[in-house]
Amino acid sequence: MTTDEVVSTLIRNLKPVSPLPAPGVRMWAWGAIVAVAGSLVAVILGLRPDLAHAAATLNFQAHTVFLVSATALAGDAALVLAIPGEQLSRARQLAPIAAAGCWVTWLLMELAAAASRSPAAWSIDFGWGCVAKAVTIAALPAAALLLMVGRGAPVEVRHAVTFAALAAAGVGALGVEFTCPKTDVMHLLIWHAGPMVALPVVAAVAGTPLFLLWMRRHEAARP
Amino acid sequence: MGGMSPAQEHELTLLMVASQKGDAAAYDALLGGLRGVVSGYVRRRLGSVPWGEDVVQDVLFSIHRARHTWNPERPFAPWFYAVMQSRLVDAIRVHKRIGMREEPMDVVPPVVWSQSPEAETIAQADLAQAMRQLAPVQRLVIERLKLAELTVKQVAKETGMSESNVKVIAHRGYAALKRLLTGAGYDH
Repeated sequence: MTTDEVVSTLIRNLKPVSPLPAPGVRMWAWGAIVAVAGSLVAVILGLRPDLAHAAATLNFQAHTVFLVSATALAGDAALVLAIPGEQLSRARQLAPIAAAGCWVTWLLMELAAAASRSPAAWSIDFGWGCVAKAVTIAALPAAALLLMVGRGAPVEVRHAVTFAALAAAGVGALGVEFTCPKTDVMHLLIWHAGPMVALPVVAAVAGTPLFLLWMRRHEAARP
Repeated sequence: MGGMSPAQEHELTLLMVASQKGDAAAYDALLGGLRGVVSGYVRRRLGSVPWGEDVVQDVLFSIHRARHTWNPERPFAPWFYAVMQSRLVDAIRVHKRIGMREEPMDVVPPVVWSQSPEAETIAQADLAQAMRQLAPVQRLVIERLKLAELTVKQVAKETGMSESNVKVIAHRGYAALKRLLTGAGYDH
């Protein structure tokens, strides 16, 4: 096909399009989805019985602040990266990772304090139920965010997918904070924070090719 | 941004706004304008590679598919250059991969040269004539590889092309040379 033929084909296939809203606007839309879907699913799964008491503790408040920050900043980064030419400064790229890092560091500090009081703090339990809860809570927000990123035209696909995964994992971890009554720090580190670290890594490695495949099909179906 | 003047960007911005609304005439003018910018950009970045026009077409397709992601309240040039640069990087990556997989012919295909000095002189004259008929970039690459005896890496550095590019150009140059020499009556 010659370039003249390509140009003719594109002109023939031209249809009016509505420009995507700015990333900030789309971020608010995603935030609304997270608030509604995440809360609804968390309530269906059952809020932790000691939520009122836990919410008054500094540790719970710190976890919540760090997780909300990481989720919001990662979601914002993913949506910004979905638009060609939008600038995402190094600081904005590092901010969600730093927020997630602060949460993990906070947990490690809690662990050190707990371990100094009792060696039992090192004991590891099985918390796959929390991982399943996190996945359930994050599923809809994650799908919505990936769709929103896919509606754009991400230039740095791997980064966009990784940030989307971090944001989704943040929603899951946040939801589990509200539904899991366990306070053992090792449990929180392995079963609450673990997936939040693992998911973006898995997404960066294995998720990107899958996302690209889906994007190509999605693009092919687009006028 | 280089390659696009402020006046041209303003004009392309207006055309893009109209194109988003489905104005085919504006889109025709937009693609015509962008095609020139893309061709120049690709040529500056890649030189005269055989797949340069493929990249131009790929960029135009990408602009078509991503046209809804441009916000009319934002400048057009950064959006356009981001799309173009992304396609260019992808194309270079793909051709680098192809270059790594392909076995380039590092020597001119074996030709059974006549042993007599007269025949050798005639053969050299034909080879020189065939070389003159090659595309300038093919001639340059083959000369640097065979006459100057540089490595692919050195030629790439000297010409500003990627190594895979040099290999592809050399490969096609050798094939063209073989065809020309065969046409001149040499037996292989």
